[in-house]
Amino acid sequence: MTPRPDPRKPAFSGLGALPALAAALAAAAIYILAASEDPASAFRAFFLSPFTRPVVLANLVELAAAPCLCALGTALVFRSGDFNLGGEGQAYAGGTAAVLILLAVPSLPGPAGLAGGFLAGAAAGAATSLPSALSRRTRGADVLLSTFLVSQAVVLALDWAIAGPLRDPSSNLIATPVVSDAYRLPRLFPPSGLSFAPLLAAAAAFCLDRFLRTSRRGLELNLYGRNPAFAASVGFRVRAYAFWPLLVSGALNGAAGALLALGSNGRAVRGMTGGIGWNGISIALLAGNDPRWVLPAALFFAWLEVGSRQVSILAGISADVGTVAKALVLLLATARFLGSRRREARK
Amino acid sequence: MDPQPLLEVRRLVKTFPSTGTVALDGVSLVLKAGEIHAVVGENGAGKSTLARILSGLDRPDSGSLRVRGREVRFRRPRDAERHGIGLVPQQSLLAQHLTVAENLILGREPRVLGIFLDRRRSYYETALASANFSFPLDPGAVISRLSPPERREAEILRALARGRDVLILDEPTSILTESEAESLFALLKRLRDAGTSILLISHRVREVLSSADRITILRNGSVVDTLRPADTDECDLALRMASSSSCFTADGPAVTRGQAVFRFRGASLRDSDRVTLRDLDFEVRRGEVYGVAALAGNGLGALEDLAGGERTCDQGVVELLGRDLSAWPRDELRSSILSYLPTDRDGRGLCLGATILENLVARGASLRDWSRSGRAAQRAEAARLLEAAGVRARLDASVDVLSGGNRQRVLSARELGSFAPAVLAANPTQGLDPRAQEETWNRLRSLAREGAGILLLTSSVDELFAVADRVAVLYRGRLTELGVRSGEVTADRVTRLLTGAAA
Amino acid sequence: MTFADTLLSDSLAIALPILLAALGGLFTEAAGTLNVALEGLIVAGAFSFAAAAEATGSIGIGIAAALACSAAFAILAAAAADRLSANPFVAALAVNLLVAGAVGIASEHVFGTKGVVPLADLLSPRVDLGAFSRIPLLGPLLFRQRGISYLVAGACAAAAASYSSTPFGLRVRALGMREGSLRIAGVDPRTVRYWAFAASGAACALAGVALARSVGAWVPNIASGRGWIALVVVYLGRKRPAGLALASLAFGFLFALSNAAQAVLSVPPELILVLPYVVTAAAALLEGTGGARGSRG
Repeated sequence: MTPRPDPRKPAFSGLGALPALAAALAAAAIYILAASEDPASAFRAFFLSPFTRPVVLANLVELAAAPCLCALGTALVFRSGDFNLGGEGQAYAGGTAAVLILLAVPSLPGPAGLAGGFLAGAAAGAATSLPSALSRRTRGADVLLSTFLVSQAVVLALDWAIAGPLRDPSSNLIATPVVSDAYRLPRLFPPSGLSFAPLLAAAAAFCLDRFLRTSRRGLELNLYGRNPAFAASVGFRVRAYAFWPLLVSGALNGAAGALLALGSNGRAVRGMTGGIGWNGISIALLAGNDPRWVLPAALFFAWLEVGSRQVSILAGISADVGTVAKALVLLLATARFLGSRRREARK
Repeated sequence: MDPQPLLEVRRLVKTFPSTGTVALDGVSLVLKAGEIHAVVGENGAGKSTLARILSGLDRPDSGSLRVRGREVRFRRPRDAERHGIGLVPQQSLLAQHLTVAENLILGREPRVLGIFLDRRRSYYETALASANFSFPLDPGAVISRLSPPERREAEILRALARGRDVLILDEPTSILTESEAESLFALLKRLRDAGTSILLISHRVREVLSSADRITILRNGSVVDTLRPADTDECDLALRMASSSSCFTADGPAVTRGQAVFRFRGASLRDSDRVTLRDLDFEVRRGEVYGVAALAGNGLGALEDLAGGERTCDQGVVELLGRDLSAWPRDELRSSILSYLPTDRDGRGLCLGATILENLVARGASLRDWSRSGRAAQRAEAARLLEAAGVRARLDASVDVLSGGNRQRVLSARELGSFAPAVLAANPTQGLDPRAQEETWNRLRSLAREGAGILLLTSSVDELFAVADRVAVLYRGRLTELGVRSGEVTADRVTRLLTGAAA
Repeated sequence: MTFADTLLSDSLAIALPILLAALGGLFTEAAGTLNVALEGLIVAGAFSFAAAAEATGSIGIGIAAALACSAAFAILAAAAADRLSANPFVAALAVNLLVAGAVGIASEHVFGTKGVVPLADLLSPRVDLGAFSRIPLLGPLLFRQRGISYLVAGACAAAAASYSSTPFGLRVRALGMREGSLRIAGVDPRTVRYWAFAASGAACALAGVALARSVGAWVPNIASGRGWIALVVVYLGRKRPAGLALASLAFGFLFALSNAAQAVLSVPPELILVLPYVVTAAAALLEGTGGARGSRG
């Protein structure tokens, strides 16, 4: 028996994530205190400025939507006992696919086009996770490794494609052409970027929560994730649970990518996913893989991001303070502070 | 006057708070120089704990150890090593992809230039040691390629390389065949004659009687007696090991037996090129409890895997209600056909980390209706089951908080709460107090009366006699059917068979 | 130099740091917990080298700083797992992120920018062994590398030797195979695991130093995926030093090819870089333990 926890089974932390939050904020505060000439105003810029102006707040909420979708899928995979490390590539594929399909059919009615774009994004994300899911199901291959590798290959290939054959030569950005205006996410609260995306994320969180807590399959999936041998022994359909969560996670990541592409830019920009897959993992872990906490956790991350941006603009402090805070959250998200829960079983 | 004892153990106590078990309850024993001293006892009597404490892997709660009259304290294996004590553990602790020599020198590696491993010297030392004890071991052989007796020899070699004076062997023959075991005992005798004292931990009475100079009987963490082989015999020893020495001679039950539920036909199973189960042929019929008893290392776990459909046999076939067991859809099988109480309660029977409610409803059929109203009904049913099982806990509490006994109750409540035509009960009362044990046995019997065919696998003779209508014994992978429990099939006969003593 | 000369010589120069980082990763993999923070540890090493060497003017102090810094980050990941029972994999991912943030901050303080900092003094010159370096193919390949490459090659040899032929390497391997084999031998498994992580940090530090010295500058994201490639190398190289060397050389060749591709070949360089991932992904997808965990029909 090794005392190490199974790398594929992060602890379900629930409120256990509070120390992680506290550590992250404390680190940010200490750095600001040390580096700033005017700590008070820097504190205000970091912690409070996101809430002082409605436009900034609306942007913050919008910013949380896509990572929230990613985190929901990641949490679902965590619940099934696995680790989806391919969020980055799945989101990239989803965003690019959504743009390509909408460029191909430029004259649909707006809502239909948007729906189509999202579906295409979800399908592309799912397709990116499909090889891993299939080999997991049929060969028991390691999801952690295969999702990451496939994702990296997809990222590099899309980097090339967007810089090459798909590129809009008239633009300075390395990006595809822009989709028709009708397909842009409608803004609810201009000039902010707030769209219905956060509602979509909340709805997804609600559905996932209902599924996990009140459906038979959800319960079975949970139990399978905790103890596959048990699930197999009592007769659950373990092969399905080795397959579907990963596919759904891929679809959610793809949808998140579509959101990124159709939201701010209306086009697929090279490198547009910018670490959303990693953020999804952190958020899922911070939320203890509980869909009810994923949106709040995503908002917390968006706050860190906006806060660090503000502090760098307003107080000249490095915006990387937000990255450090996020890293600390991730470092401590699976830690246990209340002593070991159970002594190691005798043997 | 006796020479000064080599190793003396006084009133050792060891409890495991997490499981609430008292493994050793004031054990004292004396190992003299140059003897083979056997410690015998049933599973759970505390033998392995004793071995771990003597080799520094575990620390006792209280009590003392003396080596050559001097009190010592072992905090880590190296302390035991310093006093010449080496352990051959029950579960191999060899690194399987390293060579014999590498395993042997681990932790005290010879070096060249102060940096590099001295391969030549480690090979040389290993070859020398192995020649010394006439082991035909190649120092450069990788452990995973060795046969089980060779691995055992490598373990022994490692232990001897660390402690020349006292060799502790924990169930050394459990993976060996009979002839391999015999050559092991010949070796132990040679070692003894060369001056090494040996503490042999075993539950195989016959082996112990033929090889040991003295025998200490351990039962429920306490020493029953220490005696010489000449003063006892197989039956006596087996009975004194048993936690209850009463002989059950219940009347043959009036069984109205029906259709076969489990049917084993020539079923054999191999584990990494060794036969674990050999040609099993038996039937369990509706309306009866068929009990198979075995001690650890004799294939009971493999039999459980076969009967529970967790594995399929290499030869022959296992049928359930006339259909090949592996052909049953698992979902259907477990929801309405087969109730299964596994020995590995926490690994296979329960889902730790989940709530008691989830564990109670987690069987195909009961989960089918998990709508809001369905859930309410399930909850009420689960509450009823929990109360009937006598477990006082919230349904939404994690099953982890329950004691071992209560976990077993939750498991029984789920599996035996409703009727299924086939029941596989493997050590169904482990960790239960006598009253709960009695209740589980009653439940099994009443299920049989209702027409279920029950296959009981157990390592306790008491349990076998309390419930089984027909009795069989598994020893080294072979099944001996003793037929209907009656006057002739007595507990001591079964006990003798279990420990390899002649029937 | 001919095209072939450059290609081969560059392949080796690119392969060596990857191999060294991979050998570092091998120690942790063999000890049972693969350290996936290699990418971050390379960056940490490269940055602390650049900062310390620039500040003190001493390459030696720079290298020492790099070793200390990367090893400390690696030990942080190991300690989070050991002391706080954090998931070791997640902890290592966090260290990657932590390095990215910390280096960004530190760069602004030390160099006053988050961007590229040219540090010409740190550029490792190419050696020229006269007659030797004029041997066709072999000359440029073996005798006209940058000085730092020889140091890295030496470190690779030392790491490989330490893995397979020292007591430490033996203990690391035993730890991953069966922890109990160490405990019964009186060796504390936790100490061995910490040292394995420290070793991975030190190896990545030198890899980072090599990257910084071969461009003569501090470049943000200087590792640009080499740490991830190194993880892939551990896997593709079948966890044997010789296999790792082969896999690194193959990847070094691909990288060199992609650098040369723009000029000479008509294949887009990015697509060549996809190859290592595709190959390894195929290997990972096709290799399995046979059936889903605990699955049954």
